[in-house]
Amino acid sequence: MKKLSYLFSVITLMVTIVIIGVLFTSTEALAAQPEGQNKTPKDKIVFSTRLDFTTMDVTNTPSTITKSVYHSVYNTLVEKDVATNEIIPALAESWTMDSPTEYSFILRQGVKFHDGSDFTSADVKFTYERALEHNSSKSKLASLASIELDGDYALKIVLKQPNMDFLDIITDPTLSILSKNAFEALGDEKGIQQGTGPYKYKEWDQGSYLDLEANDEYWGGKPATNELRLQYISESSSRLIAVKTGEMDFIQDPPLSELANIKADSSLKLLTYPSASVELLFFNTKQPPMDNPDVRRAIEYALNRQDIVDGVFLGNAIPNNNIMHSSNAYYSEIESVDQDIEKAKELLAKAGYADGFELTLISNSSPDSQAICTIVQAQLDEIGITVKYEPLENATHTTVAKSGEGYHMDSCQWSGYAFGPDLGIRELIYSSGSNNYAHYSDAKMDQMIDDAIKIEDKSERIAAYKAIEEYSEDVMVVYPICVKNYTFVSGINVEDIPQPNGPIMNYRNLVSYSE
Amino acid sequence: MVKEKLVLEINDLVVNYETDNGTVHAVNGINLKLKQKQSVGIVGETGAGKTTTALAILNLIPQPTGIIKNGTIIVDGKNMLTISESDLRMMRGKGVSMIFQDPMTALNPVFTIGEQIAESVRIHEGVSNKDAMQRAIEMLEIVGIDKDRAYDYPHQLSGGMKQRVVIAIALACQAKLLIADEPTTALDVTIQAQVLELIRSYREKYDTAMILITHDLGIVAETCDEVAVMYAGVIVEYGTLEDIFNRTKHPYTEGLFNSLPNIIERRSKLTPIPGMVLDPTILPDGCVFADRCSYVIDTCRTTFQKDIAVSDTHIVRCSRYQEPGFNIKRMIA
Amino acid sequence: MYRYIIKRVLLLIPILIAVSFIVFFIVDLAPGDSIDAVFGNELSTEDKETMREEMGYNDSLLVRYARYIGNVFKGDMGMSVLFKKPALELYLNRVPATLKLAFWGIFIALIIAIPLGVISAIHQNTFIDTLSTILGLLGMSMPSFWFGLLMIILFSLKLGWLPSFGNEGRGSIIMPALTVGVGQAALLMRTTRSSMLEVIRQDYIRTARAKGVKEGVVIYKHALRNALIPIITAAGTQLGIALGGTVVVESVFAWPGVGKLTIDAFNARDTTLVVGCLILTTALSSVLMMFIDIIYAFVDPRIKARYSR
Ligand SMILES: Nc1ncnc2c1ncn2[C@@H]1O[C@H](COP(=O)(O)OP(=O)(O)OP(=O)(O)O)[C@@H](O)[C@H]1O
Ligand SMILES: [Mg+2]
Repeated sequence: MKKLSYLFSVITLMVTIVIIGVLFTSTEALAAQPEGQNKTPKDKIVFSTRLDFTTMDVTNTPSTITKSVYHSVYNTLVEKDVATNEIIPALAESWTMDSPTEYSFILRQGVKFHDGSDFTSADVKFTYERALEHNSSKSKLASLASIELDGDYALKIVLKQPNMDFLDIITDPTLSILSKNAFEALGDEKGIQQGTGPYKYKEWDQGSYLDLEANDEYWGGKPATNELRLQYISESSSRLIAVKTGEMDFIQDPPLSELANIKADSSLKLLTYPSASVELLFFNTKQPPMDNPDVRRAIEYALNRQDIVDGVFLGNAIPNNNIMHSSNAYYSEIESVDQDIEKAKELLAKAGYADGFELTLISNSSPDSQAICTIVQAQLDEIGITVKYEPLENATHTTVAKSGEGYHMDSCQWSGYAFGPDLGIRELIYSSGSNNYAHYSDAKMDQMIDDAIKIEDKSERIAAYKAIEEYSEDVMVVYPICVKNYTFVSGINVEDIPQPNGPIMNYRNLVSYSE
Repeated sequence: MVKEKLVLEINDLVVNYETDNGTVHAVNGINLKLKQKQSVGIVGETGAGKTTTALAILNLIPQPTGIIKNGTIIVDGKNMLTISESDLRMMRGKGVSMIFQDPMTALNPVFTIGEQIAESVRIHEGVSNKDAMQRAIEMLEIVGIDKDRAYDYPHQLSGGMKQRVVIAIALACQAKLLIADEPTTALDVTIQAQVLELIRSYREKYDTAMILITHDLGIVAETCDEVAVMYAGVIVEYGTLEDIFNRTKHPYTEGLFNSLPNIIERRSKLTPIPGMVLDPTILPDGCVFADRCSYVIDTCRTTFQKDIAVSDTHIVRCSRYQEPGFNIKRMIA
Repeated sequence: MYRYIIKRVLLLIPILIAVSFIVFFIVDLAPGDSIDAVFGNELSTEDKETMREEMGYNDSLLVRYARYIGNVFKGDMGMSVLFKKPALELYLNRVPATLKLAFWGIFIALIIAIPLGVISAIHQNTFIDTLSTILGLLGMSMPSFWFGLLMIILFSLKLGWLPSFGNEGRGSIIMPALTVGVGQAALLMRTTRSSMLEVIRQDYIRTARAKGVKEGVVIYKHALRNALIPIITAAGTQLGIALGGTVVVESVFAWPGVGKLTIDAFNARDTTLVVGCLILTTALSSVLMMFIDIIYAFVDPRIKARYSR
């Protein structure tokens, strides 16, 4: 008995030593195998992002990863070319704007849904009318007045008022065209799963993975990869390891602290694209002294974008001084003030706060926002403003920020720029905007926004938005900080992941070559 | 003279318990010899070290507190303190077995009583489970428990029944030496007699030697050939029944007799031994009983008392009886 | 025994009602609701308000609760706002993985804890005792996040033996279960140790030794069996906790368990799903506790006697 237990403890000790030993031995030698010569696409690609696919209920989700999946399973009437920012044909082969409120579409013929039913104009009408029935999607089509079918492959859409963003808006994957026949034949639950896209649903194990398989009949040609698996791994370190072991072909959002190591690792590829969202600081104009323009300007002078980009994102972001996202077609370069502590103090004194004051800064639970706030805290300390920082849990943050009570400044991100210029600006700074956390109400601003949406001529319209962007800088109720990068890490055999359209990832053309 | 083979020989046994409150000197130099068929009674107040002596014979002093400081214990020719683990296991239960003092706690609550008896048989007789169980059932019948109860758990039995089960376990393998530590305390008087009779007939059948530990001098008189009177870890007087009962020499033995209720004379007044039992953590220089002895003189407290042989069979650890005019006051004869 | 089980099941109903109310109340206290949490800025304030009205969010807590419980009794645990699927279906989909992880975890914990605890008890206050105590504490204080990642680095990345995520693939259970098990082992080891210390002092252990029973048999048959009740109780509690989900382990290993589901649901203020998860977890744990009680009866005949009364 005694002997046995001694043996046991000796073994335990030895195992511990071996484990520690192996952990600390470097295995660099194992990495980097020679690249394969004959390039055949792998049958299946496995990838992972930070968030889970949430629902197959197309009309009903704000989840960007979910929308990205829809982009592969369905088509919208028209789509956007990410490179040129132009609207391009999809299920609609061509279109004309007959008047500012009238669009005519000619539809693609011979397209089949995954269940085999034919795509016709009735499906478009069915889809849009269905979207209007749902609270969560009807605001997107708020300007839609009627849809008139002209045979199976032509239709006319009439708007209530001019909306030059209409074509952009209908590229949103939640407006993917669904099959009327499939709904009738298969019922709602199965019916909604039938798209026209290059991939079709295979299996969804909620919380685990979603499998898609190639649609051999795809009108745009069969995709190169037979199967896609979107695996849910919420932990960024685990995700990164999974791509290192080769279990994953690519992942999104590795831990930022690992970026340098990833770059150095010859068996991995690091790819970055500007993300869809702008990091913002709101001045709550309902809460004195933030109603004082001098105070806001003073704070603007005190802040420094580059420090945040370096400190929070380790350089993996682009400074953005404009409330418009730099990838939007209506973004213009504008002037803004640079950090100037003396100027800031001067303005504060002018406003009657020579000795500074205390303010409350809130944020949501995103680690980025929290890190931003710490830097803002330090920068404002320079001019004598004491920042009381309260990070809030996401749902709480939305409620508090909407109420406009109990905070002076708010740090969060906004990503509504993917579907034309209007939505991004409107929700942010229009008096009734859903994300107007500055609680800013300015008739001039509202008028400028309402006018800009109706301008037909593109260059005129760009000028109108430039004016809005500059006016926003003037009134300084929202301080744009930067655009963070999306980061992808893949094995070297994976072809570059295509640039996303705003927050919508493009998984249609993923290819990885096996040796 | 042909030396008769000894079943048990204890030489100068010293056992201590190392406790947080100090060293308990439980047994302080005991010598004991036992021949085949012979039975010796050990009597003495609570805490005298009787059970400790018995456990030492089985080499079962509770670890890690109990330490056998000195001495040899030879059972059937084997030194229980130095033989190998496996030999020791063979001796336990087969060479020497023990009826434990407290039947309420001596049985394992999660096994049936049949199993607990059979286990012993299985270990020592090398028989199959089934045969062992058969023997266990026989043993139960011998101690007067219905065989249907073999599959009962200890909590389903009365105290007296448990006592019998404990006895059945001890008797199961016909050990050469049986140690019975107050085997009848849990039993009423009529059953007591039955149980003693049971043990007696069993011993006769198998020529078993026995150490009977008890407070009851009456039982000793009925059952034993010789008597050891223990006090504070020491045998203060040892002799045949005759020696102890009729030729009492030690004041402590006297005290024991005097504190006994006398049923025959219906004497209501008991004479308890005055004073308290010695603090077991202090080992006195002189006589262990000095503090309570009514015959005490100064030298008793300072000089160590040696065993003195009164006769071939009678040993006493007190020098005073030799003095002229010393007379033990015995209330019963 | 049957009557005892029926009694326990009936007792479960008021417990579940109480649990559901408390959870309902707490989720309600937390600022923000599922509409804000799920749809964020996607919807205008008016649209959200209409949705709230439609979904009955504007009714008082009691009304909403009564409606919920009423539906539950009709077998309908409601739809998740986040996933747009029935809460029951979502939960049940995760249960197998959770059960698998919880049981393997506790199994590993026991395999580590019982021998270490027994050895500690036998060698009380010796070097071996101290060593196992230190090992146990190490296991307990090691953050499972860190330990999990360390294992993934070793067994998936460096050695390539085990899959680094998910519950498919050969051996996928090993690392998650080890992480859970090692974390739980320390407490079980301490329980085993103290319980064994208590038991090996008992007279019946002496009786066994006096019969000539081998020391190993004395310890593992006579003593351990008696020491088992507190160990089973502790293991049952740990198992119950693991059934509620081991969120960190689930995150590190992308293990599709109920813990992550519950947290995701709470973050989305998906009251229906949160309450559903917690009610079902409570029910599951209660059933488990009932099994534990039944196991008691097998281990200790005295307890069995009490049940049959
Ligand atoms: N495990 C133990 N640890 C410490 N001290 C002990 C232990 N067992 C017995 N003792 C002490 O040793 C002394 C002798 O005890 P023992 O049990 O041998 O007495 P006893 O003569 O059998 O008494 P009783 O008639 O009450 O059974 C007592 O002082 C007792 O307190
Ligand atoms: Mg005793």
